[in-house]
Amino acid sequence: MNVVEKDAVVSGMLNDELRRCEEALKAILKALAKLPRGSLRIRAKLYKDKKYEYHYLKYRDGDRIVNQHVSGSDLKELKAKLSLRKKYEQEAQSYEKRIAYLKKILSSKGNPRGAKKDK
Amino acid sequence: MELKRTNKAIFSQPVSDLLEALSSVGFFEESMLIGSWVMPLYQEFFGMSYALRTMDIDFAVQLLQGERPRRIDLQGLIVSQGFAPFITQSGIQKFSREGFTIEFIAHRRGGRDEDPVFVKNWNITAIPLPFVSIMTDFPFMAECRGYQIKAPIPEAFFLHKLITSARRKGESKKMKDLEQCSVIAPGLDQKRLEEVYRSVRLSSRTWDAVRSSCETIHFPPQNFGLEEKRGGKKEKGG
Repeated sequence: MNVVEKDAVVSGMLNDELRRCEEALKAILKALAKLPRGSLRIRAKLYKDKKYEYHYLKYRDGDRIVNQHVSGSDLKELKAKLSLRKKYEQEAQSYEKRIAYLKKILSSKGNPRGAKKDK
Repeated sequence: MELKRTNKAIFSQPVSDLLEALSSVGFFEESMLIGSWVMPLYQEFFGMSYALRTMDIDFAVQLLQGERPRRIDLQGLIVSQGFAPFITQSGIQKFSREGFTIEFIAHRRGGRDEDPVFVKNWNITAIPLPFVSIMTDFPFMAECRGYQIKAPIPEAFFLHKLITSARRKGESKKMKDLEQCSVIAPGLDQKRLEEVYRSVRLSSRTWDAVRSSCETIHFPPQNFGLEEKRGGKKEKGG
């Protein structure tokens, strides 16, 4: 294949990659919106020489900080969801960086979004 | 096809870890690695060099009839490898880690039903696509640093790409497919190619597509037993 064709293959792959990243980011952000926000904290209280621990979820809601009590039975599920949220956030960040990079490359090639869409 | 060994690290760390984990649960006994990630294997074992690679890792899964004696929670296994599961807008299940995405493909026997299918034995969903069996019917096993991966032999991958490239709606993927074919073509084994094309049953329209793809990459269609174009009519030879 000649150079022009090769270049078309590369720019086509970059456009496909951009679409793939955007699709993944969209799906990840959607999944992220369904997961609880905030961090899990423990509050210890002393009562009659005995130490009691309470778990609560701390998150920001607009201007205010919310401390929401978490019952023992919900703790395991909440921990799993918070951990998944962290994972999704990392993934979203990685796609955002990649999308910005791909857009930069494609625009510097004089092809801001690629000429053609295909699937 | 015989097992080939290498001590080289063919794949980057997250991909290698994933393949090793899948291999450890017997995934490659029935299923295989497909897509552009077979190219590092072709480079290592068949001397076919192709540098461009996408970040999506595709696997072809066999849809077995009846109950399989063992069931593996592949979804759980992949998540334990640091991948996050997500569902795309079109309902396709994928897994993501550091920009890599995993996707499962299954062979579609006719029809146009493109809905993802649930693969009970592996606890995953796969996208049914036509012609995937061309690849799954002609596997080779590669041993990489203590684990084994199944992938299609280059001749089967080549034929599959020639067919799918002609069916692509967009130019860029079509060109990528054909470029991969043109890289693979010089290293193909004619005997194995014959084995592949003689075993598959394709419509004359599909053979026309193969011929057309062959012409684009200057690969003799006669190597597929396709006769020269005569008076605009394309024929499939013996």
